[in-house]
Amino acid sequence: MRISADERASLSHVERLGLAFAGWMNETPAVQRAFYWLNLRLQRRFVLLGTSRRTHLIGLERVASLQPDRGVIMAANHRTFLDQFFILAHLVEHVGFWRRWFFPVRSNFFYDNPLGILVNFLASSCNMYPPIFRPRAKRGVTRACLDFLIEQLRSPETFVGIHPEGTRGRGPDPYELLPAEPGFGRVLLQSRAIVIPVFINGISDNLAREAVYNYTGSGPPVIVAFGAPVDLSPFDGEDPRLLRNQVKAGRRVLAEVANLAEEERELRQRLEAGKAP
Amino acid sequence: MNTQEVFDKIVAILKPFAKNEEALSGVSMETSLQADLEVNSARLVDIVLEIEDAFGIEVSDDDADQVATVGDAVNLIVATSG
Repeated sequence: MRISADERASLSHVERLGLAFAGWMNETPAVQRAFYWLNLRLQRRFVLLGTSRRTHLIGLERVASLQPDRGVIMAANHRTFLDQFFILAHLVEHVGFWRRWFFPVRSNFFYDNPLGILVNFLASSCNMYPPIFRPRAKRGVTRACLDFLIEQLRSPETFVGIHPEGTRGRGPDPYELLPAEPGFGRVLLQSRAIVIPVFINGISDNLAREAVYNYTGSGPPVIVAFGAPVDLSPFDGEDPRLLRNQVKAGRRVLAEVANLAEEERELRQRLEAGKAP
Repeated sequence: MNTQEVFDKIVAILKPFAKNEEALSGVSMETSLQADLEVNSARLVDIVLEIEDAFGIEVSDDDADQVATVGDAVNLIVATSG
């Protein structure tokens, strides 16, 4: 990742350390490959342990039938810290395109707190990368981080899990979505990656409780609905730097996520009524 | 349109977004959108889009990022439409 000395100077010592360590983990080929192997063999199974017996996947064929010539963005709603890990853990059971994955994350905690850096390492092998810094003074670094993602998305081996809303929905209604962040639209329009909308519902942040649910067969069903790639051709020829275009592109993807929410709701109702396997 | 007219029009746009009405009544070029007017960060995008519509301009994300105060917004519009 290319960050100028001035931009780097806007970060605290801990943030610089966190960024350097996660950058080394993700951008050193041998290290990245080693942890990719570990993700597949260990961390993925840990996630599946908590959810595999009560998971229902809708529209998996829409992803499995892809023949990507560039990277893929999974654009999912955001209710828990586990959303994207869960989606990826289940996807790689059926789809084998990807050799590297990134989950851009807000810098708070995971990059400005030593404990957060450790959690990022243990939970995801620092795949929660690159960080998004919100403070105005650090936005130069965020630009560099988004440019890094855009560059990575040129490769069909890249998976990027993004939450268009930028932050977790904390309201009581899991079907209510927050507005899409412009930074998301920027990545969409500048990378022209394949964008798969996803709606996920039914898990919590408590992996231990999820594992108990899974073991005992109790707990709500976990449903993940995958959509077809979003058609962004209306933005062909449009300036991707304009805020208006970024906002429109983000809203378009989020509208597709909302459509999937209705598919999920319908299946959940049938499951609860005992009318679906 | 002179700077004062741009300023007045921006203040009118900000009115429904500003949570701190007292700060809005004493608004100046130095007034911060977030710290003083207490505009929700998620609504800053909506403000920029309204400014685009009101002044018939297009704003890049880089330029939008520079807008922290009322004066920044005024200067951006004057520079873009000039």
